[in-house]
Amino acid sequence: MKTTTKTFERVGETMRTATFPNGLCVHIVPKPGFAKKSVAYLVRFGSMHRWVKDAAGKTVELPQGIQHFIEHLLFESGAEDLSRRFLSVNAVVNAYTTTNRTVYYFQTTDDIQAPLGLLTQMVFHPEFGEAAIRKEAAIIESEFKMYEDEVDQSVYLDGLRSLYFAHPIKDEVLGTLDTIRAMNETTIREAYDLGYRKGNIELVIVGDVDADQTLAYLASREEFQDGASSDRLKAVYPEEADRVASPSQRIPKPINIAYASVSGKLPKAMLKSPLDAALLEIKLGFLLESLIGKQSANYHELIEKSLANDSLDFLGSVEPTFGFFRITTETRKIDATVEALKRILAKAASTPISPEQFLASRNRMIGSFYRSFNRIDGVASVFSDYLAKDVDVEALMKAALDITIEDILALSKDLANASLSVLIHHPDGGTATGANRAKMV
Amino acid sequence: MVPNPQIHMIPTDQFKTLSVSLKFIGPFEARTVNERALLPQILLAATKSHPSKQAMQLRFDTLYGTQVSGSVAKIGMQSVISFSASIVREDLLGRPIYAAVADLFHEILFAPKTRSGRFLKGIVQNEMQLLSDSLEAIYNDKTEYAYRQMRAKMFEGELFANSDQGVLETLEAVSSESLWNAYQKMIREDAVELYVVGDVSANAFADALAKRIPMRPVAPDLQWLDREMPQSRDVLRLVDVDDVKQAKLDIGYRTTTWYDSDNVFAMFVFNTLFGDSEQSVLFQSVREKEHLCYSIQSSFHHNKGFLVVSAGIEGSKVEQTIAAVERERQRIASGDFTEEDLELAKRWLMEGQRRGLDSPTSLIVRHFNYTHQLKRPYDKDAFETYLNAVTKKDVQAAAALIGLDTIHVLTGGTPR
Repeated sequence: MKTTTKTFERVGETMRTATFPNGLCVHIVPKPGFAKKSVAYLVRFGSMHRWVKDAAGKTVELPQGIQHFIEHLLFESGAEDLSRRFLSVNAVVNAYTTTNRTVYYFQTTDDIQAPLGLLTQMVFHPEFGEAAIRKEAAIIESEFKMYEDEVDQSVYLDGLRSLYFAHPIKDEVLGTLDTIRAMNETTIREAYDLGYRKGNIELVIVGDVDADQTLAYLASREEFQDGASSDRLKAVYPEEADRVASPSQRIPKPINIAYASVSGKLPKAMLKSPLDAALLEIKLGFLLESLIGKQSANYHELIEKSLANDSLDFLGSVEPTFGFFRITTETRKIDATVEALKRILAKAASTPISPEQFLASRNRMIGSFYRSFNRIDGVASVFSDYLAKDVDVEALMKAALDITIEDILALSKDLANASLSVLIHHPDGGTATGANRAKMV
Repeated sequence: MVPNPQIHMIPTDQFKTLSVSLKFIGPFEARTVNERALLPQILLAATKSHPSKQAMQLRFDTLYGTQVSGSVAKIGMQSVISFSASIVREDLLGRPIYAAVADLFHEILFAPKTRSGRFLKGIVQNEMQLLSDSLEAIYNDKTEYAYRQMRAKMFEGELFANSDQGVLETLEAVSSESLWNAYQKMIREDAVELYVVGDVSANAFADALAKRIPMRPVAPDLQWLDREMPQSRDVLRLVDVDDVKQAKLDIGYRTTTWYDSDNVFAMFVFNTLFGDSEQSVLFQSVREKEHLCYSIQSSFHHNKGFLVVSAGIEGSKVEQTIAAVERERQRIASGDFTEEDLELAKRWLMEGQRRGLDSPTSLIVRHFNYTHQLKRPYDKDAFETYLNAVTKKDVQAAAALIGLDTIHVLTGGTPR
């Protein structure tokens, strides 16, 4: 086991990292004084890893949603109810699957050793029985249907589908009803063996823990000793055009006020290394904020003209294989809102950012970085997110502080040329009136 | 610093920030609900020196994201308007910002942007539109919408029926006069208290703020728990129809247990055992075993003595689910649960309690509730002591004590 300690001087935090010979990696961030501890196995296996390389270097296609399905199954392994076993050692266990990772975590205000043993057992020794698979398929199906009622969720996914032809970022993390129903033991075992190899997994511990004692305990466990060294899972992605999949689309929904979204797709030429992608995401955030953030003239103009309300929001997301941005708002004047948003983007390059605005954005970013270290969850999620994206937090912070106004201006030219997609979710004209519908029976 | 009974310091070195909440406390009244919901937003929209939201935001951002936020809540029979912020510690930033933040608080409260002695019309109209939109948006969140409908009916005629976040039906009655009067009353008559969580440097900030903003004591006889009760009546059964795939069921119970009641910890444990975790009997039997619902949860409101079970179900399973919920309650009342179940429920509560110690916001809420609802200083160990004292018999008694009041279903289909 090799250990290193890294200090994040800006916020006075340290991270101790231990790498075991089989590839497993442990990161410990001590937070003295906090009651809560967060412990997470971060598996670099998410819904966008649809095509992966097997040991022979051959590309294997996985069914949509299998990562999330495995996450559910791991909770079903063994005879006893796992949530209850964690509670019996004073810990609350949970898991989630995103586009780029599956995370199993527990939180506790007590000692971490007993629940860490349970979590380790759960992640590395699953049982995939046919009965459990059928039971989970039914549960995931109802989870799937539950999300169908959530308007925000459909706005988000429909938006990605309007941008991407093939990149799996556009797919539902849960999969489709067909893939969920078709899951079987063989496919699941194969996907598990690929995604859950030791070199593809990291353990992140945040809280008031004894690091030496924890590492000694882990070193004593067979999961940290066995197995030949393994490397990261390699995913491959389908060819994706630079133009958007659907320039304009209208979808009816049972809502009161329409949602308008204008999204843009970043061309492949802009997508580079993980650190560059993360930095570009920050720049995109600065730029969108100066264009349409709460301190921008555009934001207030849109609201004053009732072309938007306080749901007006923006998002920029960049990873090495995809990059997009989106502006959304509720509106009662759909066409005028869309025109205004498109105009704002088209004029981005000629809208000057003042030094005051730039300073404000920068200071705000510094402030929010400090704030994220106020919470155990925040620290865990900052580190997990950047670990999953292979980005060094310290290097990113340093590069982010060096961003200049000129960098943002250069980006604004790219944005003005990006391929756009307009998506409207409009009221379906059905039952959407809130008042006076209760009646006595 | 100068001791002041209206300033509550909560010292800890854990955080990178100071967390501040300045509270204005006045009576909760149906006729000023909308004004008090709008006031913090109007005050935060523009000041004399920062005359637009844009200018305000630029100021917040430049002060390292010290976003001052405003909120209003009904606590007992009081309306509490809070102005809150988290300020990155000066020692970490390596430069002073506390005085500038204190100036900004003063400016927001005492130097609003006005014309002819009123708030700017444009700002008022804008905030009214935003409030109206956000009240309408609740309709899109079907679970929340169903719960609100149920609450409005169950507490009809009581203050609790009024959402403290504003009431759509009476919003049009708000005028620039009514807003200005509510503002004047707030800054002249409301009690004013300050809560600050942070390291030793918090004293300097509290001093700076107290120099600029006068604190005012809370009258000792205020009601901090809402004990309004209707005449006894039959169980209300209501059905709403809307475009939902899942029906939403809400079952409201009355209790005679409030935060200061002797049996409040028994009620906390009962609620957890009943439906507030995945280990609860409702989740385990009604969802997992009988598959009657997709989701089910109970929550107990200790400010009002109100317990509600909310479930997402198939429209055809309404009656079965109602029967199952009542059956599970009877089971607990009759003692049909193990000591282990009891221990798990207590541990679940204990976890939540300990975790709250890591959150500046919940530390402030706890200090506030102790001060006003329990009338004693916050004691972080008291919770565990009282919780551990709860027996199986206590929980059975709590289950038997709650009274079914209102059943509300929001179901799919064509509205009539």
